[in-house]
Amino acid sequence: MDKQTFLQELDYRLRHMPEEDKLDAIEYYSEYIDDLNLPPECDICVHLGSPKEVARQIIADTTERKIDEQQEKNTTKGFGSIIWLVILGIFASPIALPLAIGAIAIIFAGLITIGSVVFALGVSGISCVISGIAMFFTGFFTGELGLAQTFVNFGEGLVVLGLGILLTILTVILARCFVSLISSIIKKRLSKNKARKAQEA
Amino acid sequence: MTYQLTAPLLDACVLGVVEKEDVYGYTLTQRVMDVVDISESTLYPVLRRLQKSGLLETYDIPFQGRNRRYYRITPPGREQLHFFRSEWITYKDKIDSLLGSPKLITAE
Repeated sequence: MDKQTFLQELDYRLRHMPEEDKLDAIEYYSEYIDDLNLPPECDICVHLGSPKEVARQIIADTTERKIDEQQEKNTTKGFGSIIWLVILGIFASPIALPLAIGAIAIIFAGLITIGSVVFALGVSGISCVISGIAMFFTGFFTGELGLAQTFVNFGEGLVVLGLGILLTILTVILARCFVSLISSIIKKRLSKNKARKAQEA
Repeated sequence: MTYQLTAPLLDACVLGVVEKEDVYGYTLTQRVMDVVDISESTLYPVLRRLQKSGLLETYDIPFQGRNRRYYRITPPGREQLHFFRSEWITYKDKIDSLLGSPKLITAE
């Protein structure tokens, strides 16, 4: 990376910092790069690290200083700017981190949703089975019902019982699919990581 | 380096170097890097912090058609440096009392 690109990117990464702090940093590094006296084809990042890393250090230190000032003054004025700087710090940190948190949250939410649908199916299946059996037997134990009503109850009980058994079977199948889906995702992740590590090594 | 340089110690070292003579960023960094294990971008935040808290001040000197920013120690900076020095000696003595200095070990 040459001087101009380096300073431009540093400027961009420090864009939310107070103007004065930003200009001071840019001036310092501009001067420093001149003093390094590198041949034009040399990469500045080898010496200074990437503009991202440099910016991170500056933001972290400014944040610390602001917090210290705040504690000395013991007021809540300027508290907003500290929060702002902390957020900046998070975004200046390796971008993978916030993104990974988001992705994990989304995957987790999806799994919970599918899981609860399966759970609900299972519960309705089992309750159908129970109520089916109960209906079937009411025919025997309540003598006051007429013969016709008893047969109706028999029939209804059998229908609900059958429905319940079907739902339960369906739940078991779905749950199996769900588990194998999760395990295949995890396996893919692991093998990808392994491949990446093998490449790096 | 086995032992880590903490932030106050780094502040102290920078003040110590600047007390001897006024320096600009590049020479200061090279001088500190010769002795301790820091990266080339470590000192900017330190210098900025010391400047903001009034322990260092800056002035510009034209050099080859651009400016060089020199850092100079201020009276509060000197005071702070004295404090850092006495703290360092106390700390060093305490650690030595636990660790034993090389001289003591050979004497036994």
